[in-house]
Amino acid sequence: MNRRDFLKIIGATSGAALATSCDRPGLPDFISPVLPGDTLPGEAKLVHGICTECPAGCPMIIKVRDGHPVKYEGVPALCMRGQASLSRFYHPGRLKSPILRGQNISWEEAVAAIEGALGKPGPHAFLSSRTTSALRELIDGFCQKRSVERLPEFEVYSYAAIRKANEIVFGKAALPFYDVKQADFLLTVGVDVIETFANPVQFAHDLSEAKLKWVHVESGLSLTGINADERIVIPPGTEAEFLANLPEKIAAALKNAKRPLVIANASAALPAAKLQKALNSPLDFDRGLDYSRVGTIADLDKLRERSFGVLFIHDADPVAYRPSFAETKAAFRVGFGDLMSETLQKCDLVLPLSDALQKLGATPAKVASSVTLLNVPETSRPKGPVLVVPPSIRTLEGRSDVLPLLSEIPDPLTVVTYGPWVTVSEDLKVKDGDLIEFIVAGKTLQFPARVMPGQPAGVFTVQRPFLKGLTLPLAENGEELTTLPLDAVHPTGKKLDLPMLSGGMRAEGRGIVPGLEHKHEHDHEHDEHKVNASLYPPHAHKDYRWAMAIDLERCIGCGACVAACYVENNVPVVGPAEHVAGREMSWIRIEPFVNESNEYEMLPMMCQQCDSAPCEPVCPVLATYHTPEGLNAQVYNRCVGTRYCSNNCPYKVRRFNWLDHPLEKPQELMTNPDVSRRPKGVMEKCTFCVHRIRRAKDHAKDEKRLVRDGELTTACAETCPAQAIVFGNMLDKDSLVYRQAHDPRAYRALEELGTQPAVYYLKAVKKT
Amino acid sequence: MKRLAYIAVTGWFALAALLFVGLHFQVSVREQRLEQPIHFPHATHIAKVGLQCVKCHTTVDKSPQAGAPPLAVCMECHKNVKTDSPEIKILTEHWQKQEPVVWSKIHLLPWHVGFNHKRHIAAGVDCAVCHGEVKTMMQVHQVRSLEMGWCVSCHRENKAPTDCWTCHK
Repeated sequence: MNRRDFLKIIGATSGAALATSCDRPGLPDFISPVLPGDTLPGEAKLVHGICTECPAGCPMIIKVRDGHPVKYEGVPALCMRGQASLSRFYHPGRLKSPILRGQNISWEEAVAAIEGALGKPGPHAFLSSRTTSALRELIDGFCQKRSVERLPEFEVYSYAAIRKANEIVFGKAALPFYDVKQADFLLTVGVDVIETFANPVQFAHDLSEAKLKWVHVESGLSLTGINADERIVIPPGTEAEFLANLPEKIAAALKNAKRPLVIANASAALPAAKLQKALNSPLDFDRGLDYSRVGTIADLDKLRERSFGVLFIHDADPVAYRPSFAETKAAFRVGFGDLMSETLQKCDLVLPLSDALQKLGATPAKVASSVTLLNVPETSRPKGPVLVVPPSIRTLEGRSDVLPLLSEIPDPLTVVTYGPWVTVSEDLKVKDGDLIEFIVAGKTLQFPARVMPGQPAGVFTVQRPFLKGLTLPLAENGEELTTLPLDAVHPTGKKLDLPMLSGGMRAEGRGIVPGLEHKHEHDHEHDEHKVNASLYPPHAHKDYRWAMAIDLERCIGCGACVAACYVENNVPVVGPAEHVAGREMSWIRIEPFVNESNEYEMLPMMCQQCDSAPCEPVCPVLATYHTPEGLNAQVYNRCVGTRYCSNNCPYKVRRFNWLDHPLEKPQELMTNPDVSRRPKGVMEKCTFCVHRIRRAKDHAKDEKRLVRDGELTTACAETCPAQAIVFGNMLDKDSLVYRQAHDPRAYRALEELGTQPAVYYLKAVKKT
Repeated sequence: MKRLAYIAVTGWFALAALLFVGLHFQVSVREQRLEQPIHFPHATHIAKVGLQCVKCHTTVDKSPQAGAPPLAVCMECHKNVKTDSPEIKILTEHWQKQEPVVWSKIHLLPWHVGFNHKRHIAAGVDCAVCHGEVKTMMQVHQVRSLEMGWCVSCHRENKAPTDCWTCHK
């Protein structure tokens, strides 16, 4: 009896294997009656589209396989939300037919119901989220024809204050395009330019190509702040004051710069606009996002004073952010949306919108920082604790929190997955997960704490999506206040398991992020620790040796790569309970590291495809092995789930399928057909997108050549807004990855272990 | 008590052995004749009409996936040919409604294996090597085992790659 037969018998004994070992004959092969000329079954068709997950409207390419979209790719990049928005397309909860007071009805009946209601006395009104181009014309045409009043559009982040300031200073009430590529000095005050502000992907992309010094001023702790060359912490709500009394150093830098760019948030919009004009900041009002129709939240509140006949609410969820909107008097409410929302639940008639890909009218559109605490006169310091409410990089104001994938991917800086939480400073003497009680907008909330080094004392941060259903006070400019005084805040003594995907944020001198550690006495000379000795002979690589280089100076830690990897590789969404148990499935993760000076650096970590991989020799069934192209392969059907490999992996990048995660219809259509969906009991990990490699080699072989540099890239590299990841063949000495791997900044993580990783990191260098 | 345990253990493994043997004698998948929505005689089309495989399976040399032909390909001829046959009437009905015919797939690979048709055609592997003499089959059935050992033996003979990740996905 050989090993294979023995395993078969053991498998049969356990009984369960019987069912799965039978082939399933007769699976239907579904072929469209007519194939369009440019469709090739088994090959992706590329269709141009526009991402509609946020108002930025990034252009993208939709990969269509066998008639259904399987992946979005950015042109040139796509963020975490954009990547995850594919799951909106396949959301099981998508509305399918018109619903009249809980009853499914036909479109004819729905139209009749609207016609009937429009015949009754008005005034009728149409409220929508931000619209542009074709959709705007369509709605305008309808409103004009049926004498329906077009209300100011609703967006939580309306940039009203900035538009107002620009009207005063530049005579243009618009949000400009901030041309960071033209700038040589960047001063951002309270705006998260690479997370959610205006067009963050474009900004991050331009920033990665710009040569400038960047100073960020904020009152909390943000991903934007840790990426700036210098981070200045000011008391909450003092942004305008900061701009009025610029510190000498900043004022001098602004004066010496040729083209300085200043961007500030709503509370400092006017002084910022004046500075922009005085300094000739590179603003382009022709290329900015069109917010001309967007009103403020104060405009929304005013609707309560009126009463309407028919009130149309198009693709907006005002009730979630302004619960009092539900009290707006209207005889008949018609809501449009793709998924049920709090607003749609309050509507008489609900009409399903076409999917996000067919939406009309969408228009296309750094390094370790030093931290300075600024002294501001005592008088302007807010007394007592302050709550800061920023938008979330994962869900913006909360519009994307219907996508479970975005709760699965950690918030980049805090590494918390399933919320809510409140970010607190180390001074508070609480631990992660301790429940903190505080009162905001008249409501008592208890959120678990997340202690972040570098969070200013007395500042509590709760992302806007976690305050859905609360009415936040408004500023004079009609926008929501993002800084609120907290009357009572105290730990409750209770504790929650916070799903946090990082054991600790200190590198402990291991040289994982030398950019953070290089200035210390125990400067990490990793060359001394290099171990090249191995019991195994070196691997021979014939044509290819795949490798990756990640420039940590460029990486902003936005997590777009994580989302791209989830979608590309059919990585399951496992839910909060599994996360608390430490069973997340992400193949790539962003690890924040922080040093004693509270300087952060983000490190993307995935399988390092080691040449001397510690996981390989310990596998008892040879399910993991080294391929001739230098990849560390995992053969799923051979794996028996001993998890020895995961135990032996120093990078902790292997993931075990503890459970099956069945998909609800029609999510199975989202599956990438080139990648297996792994069953329970099987180990998995990053493959360097081997299916893409296979395909690129297939195409190259058709032309009797080798794969060219740049012809092939991984999903994480393709979506990266900062162009931080480079993938290629190390045997090709002209390849970009070869050059990057031989850069003086290049190092490999935990190189002293002798694992010989194929992932090279380029350490961040301090720009002072 | 100890004896009871012995019997239990022996019985358990005996049952396993029985199941294992049973599995081997189980009617092999390839012998099964699957019901198809339309009786399509490959033999008539190839041997009698003289069509080549690639006439209908157009993407087999262009894509990893051979794919069943779309209805439009059938209708190229059957708009005029044998329109009174009951099977063609079913076909025409599908065409008029623009509803795909859902064929039962015969040659199945496990979930963890990918197969690239284009590469095999480019290497000069005849369709019959894997699919058998389809030109003589009135109803197509599986001839080869399509098991890994069978694939690998051919790969070894022809010095094709035998790295796991060539096929395992």
